[in-house]
Amino acid sequence: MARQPRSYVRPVEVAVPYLLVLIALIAGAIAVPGFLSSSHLSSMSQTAAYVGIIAIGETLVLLLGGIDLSLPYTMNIAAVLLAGFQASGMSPAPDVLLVLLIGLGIGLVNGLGVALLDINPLVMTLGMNGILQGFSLIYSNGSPIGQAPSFVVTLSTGSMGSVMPWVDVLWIALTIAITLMLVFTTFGRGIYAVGSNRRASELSGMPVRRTLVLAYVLSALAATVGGILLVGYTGQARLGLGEEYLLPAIAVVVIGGTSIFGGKGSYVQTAAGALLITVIESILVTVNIDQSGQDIMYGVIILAMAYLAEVAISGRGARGGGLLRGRLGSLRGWLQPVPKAGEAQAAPPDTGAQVGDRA
Amino acid sequence: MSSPRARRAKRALPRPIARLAWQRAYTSAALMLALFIVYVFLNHGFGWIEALGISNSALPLALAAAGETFVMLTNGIDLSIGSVISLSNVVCAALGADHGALGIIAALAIGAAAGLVNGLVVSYMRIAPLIATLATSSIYMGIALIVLSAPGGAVPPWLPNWTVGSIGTIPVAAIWLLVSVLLAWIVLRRTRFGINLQALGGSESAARSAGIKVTRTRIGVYVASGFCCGLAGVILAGLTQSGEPTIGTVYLLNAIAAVVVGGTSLSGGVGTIAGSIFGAIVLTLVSSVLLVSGISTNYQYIVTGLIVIGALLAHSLHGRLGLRAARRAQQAQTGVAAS
Repeated sequence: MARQPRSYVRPVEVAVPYLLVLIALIAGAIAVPGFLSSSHLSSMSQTAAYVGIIAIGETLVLLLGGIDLSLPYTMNIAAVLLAGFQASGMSPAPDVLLVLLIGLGIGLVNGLGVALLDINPLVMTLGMNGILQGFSLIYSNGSPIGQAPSFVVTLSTGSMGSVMPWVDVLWIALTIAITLMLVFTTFGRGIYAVGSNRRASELSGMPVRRTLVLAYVLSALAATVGGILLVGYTGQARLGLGEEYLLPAIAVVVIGGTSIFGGKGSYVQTAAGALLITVIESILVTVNIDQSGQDIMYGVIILAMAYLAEVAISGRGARGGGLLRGRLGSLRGWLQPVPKAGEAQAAPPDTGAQVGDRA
Repeated sequence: MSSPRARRAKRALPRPIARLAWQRAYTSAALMLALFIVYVFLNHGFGWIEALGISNSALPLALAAAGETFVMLTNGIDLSIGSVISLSNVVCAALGADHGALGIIAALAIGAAAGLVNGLVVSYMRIAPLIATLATSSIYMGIALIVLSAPGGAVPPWLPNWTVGSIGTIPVAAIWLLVSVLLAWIVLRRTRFGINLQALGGSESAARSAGIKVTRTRIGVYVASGFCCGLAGVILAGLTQSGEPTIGTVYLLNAIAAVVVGGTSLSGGVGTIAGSIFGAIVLTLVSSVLLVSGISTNYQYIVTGLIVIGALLAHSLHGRLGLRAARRAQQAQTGVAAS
C-alpha cells in the first residue's frame, strides 16, 4: 500500500511561525543593543523552554479536540510534593520518579474520565484542577516546605559548557521525541485521526479510548515535568506556582498555528510559538513596557496569530459540518470559529436556508 | 417584524428540551436547599448575619455565572469574564469617588463594551470563542492595570447600601439574587432574544434557516455577558469599597463550575440562567458548610471539584434517560395516533 502524504502539517504552516521568530529577533536586535548576545539568547531560550515543555501536553490534547485545564495544579502539586518529599528525607532520584508517577496517575484519572465516563474534557480537567488545588493546600498546609534536589536545580538553571542551558537540551530532546512520536507511531497518527473525526476513527477500528487516555497521561506528565523544573528554577515550591502558565500554554499552541478544534498542527509549531512569545516579551521588557502593556500586546498577538492561522493560512475558518456531535464534538463548538454568513448553508441538505435569508 | 413565522418560532422551543433544562435547574435548587438545611443544622440556626454573608459572597459569582450562561447557551464560551469583572471594578473605583453615579454607569458601560468587542471579534474575525476571549481577556487585564495599577480608589458612600447592605434584616444582595432569577427567567422564556439564543445554541444552521439574525444574536449574547460581569464588578466595588485590578481572576473557573452545576449543557441550547444562579449559591454554601463544620477550608476545592464532575455526570445521565423517555413517549403517542 502506498504511503499517504502527510497532509496534517503543511510546510508553510511550520515555516510562518519560525519566520516570525526570526523577524522578532531582528527587530529586537535593532531596538535593543546586545539583544543577540549569547547570554541574552541563552536566557531567552531558557524561558521559552519552560513554556515549551509545559505546552507539550496542551498541544497533544488540543490536537485531539480536547483541552486540559488541570495543568496549573498538576504543576503545583508536583512542585509541592517534590520539595516536600525532600524535606521528609527522601533521596532525590526516587523522589522525582514518585512525583512523575503521581503525575501519571493524575493524567490517567483525567483520561479515564474523558474516555470512559464521557465527561466533557473541560469540566473533567476543571474539576480535577480544583481537587489538586485542595490536595496541594492540604499537603503543604498553606506553606510548602523543602528544597529542590540539587540535580533538578542543575537541570533547570545550569548550562552545558556554560552556553547551552540544560533545560534547552531537554527541550530539544523532547521536541524531537514528540515530533517523531506524532509522525511515526500508531499512537501519534491516532491523535490526528481521532482529532479529525472521532466517529470515523471508531468505525475504522482505532483504539480511540486508549489514544485519549494516553494523551491525557502525557499531558499531565508534561505539566509534572514543568512543575519539577520550576521548583528547580526557584529552589523552592510555592502555592499557585502553575497558575500563570495555563493561558500561555494554550496561547503558544494557538500562536504556533495548531488548530484547536483538533487534527491539524504539530508540536514543532508550538515550539515556535513559545520562542515567538518569549522573544516579543523580552523586547517589551527591555524597552520598559510595563505589565499592562505586555498583557495588551499578548492579547493582540494571540488574536493576530489566530486570525492568521484560521483564515489566511488554512484558507478556511470553519471545517465542514461532518464533525461528530459527540462528547468531543460538543467541546468543538467552543473551539470552532463561527462560519461566515452563507457558508453554513453551502451543504445541500440546507437548501431551506435561502428562504430564511430573504425574509 | 412580528411575522407569523417568528411568532411560531417563539412557541416552538422543543418541549422535552425545555423541560429537561428546568428539571436540571430544579435539581440544582434542590441541592441548594439540601446544603442550606445542612448549614442551618450545623450552625444551630440561621440569623441575618449569616444570610448577609452568604448572599454577599454569592451575588458576584451568580452574576458572573449568569453572564457565562448566556454565552454557553449559544455553544460558545467566554474566558474573559474574570478580566471584565476586574476592569469594571477598577473603573468604578477610579471614577466613583469624584463622579458618583457616573462612575457606576461608566463601569457598566465598559463591561457591555468589552462584551461587544468579544462579540465582534468572534463574529467578524471568525476566531473561535475560546481563543478570542482568551486573547481579549489579556487585553482587558492590561487596560484594568492601566486604570488602576494597584488596589485602591474609592466608591460613592451610598453604593454599599445598594449592593451589600441590608433593608431591616433582609440583605440587599438576596433581593438582587431573587430579582436576577426572575429577570433571567423572563429574558430566556419571554423575549425574542432569549428564544433566539437558545435556538442558535441548539443548531446554528436551523436557527439561520428559521430567519433568526444569527450574528446579531451572537453579539448580543456577548454584550449580555459583559454587562453581567460589569454589574458583578460594581457589586464587588461596593463590597470592598475600593478597586482591585486582579479581583475578577478567581471568578472565571468558579463561574464555569456554577454553570455546570446549574445544568446548562456544554454543547449549547439546553440550560437556564436560574440554574446557574442556584449553582453559584451551591458553591458558596459548600464553603460556608465546611467553615461551620470546622473542616479546613482547604477541602473546599476538593469538594467543589467533585461536585462539578459529579453534577455533570448526573446531568448527562439524567439527560440521556430523560430524552430517551420523552422519545419513547412521543413514539407511543404517534403510534397510537397512527393505528
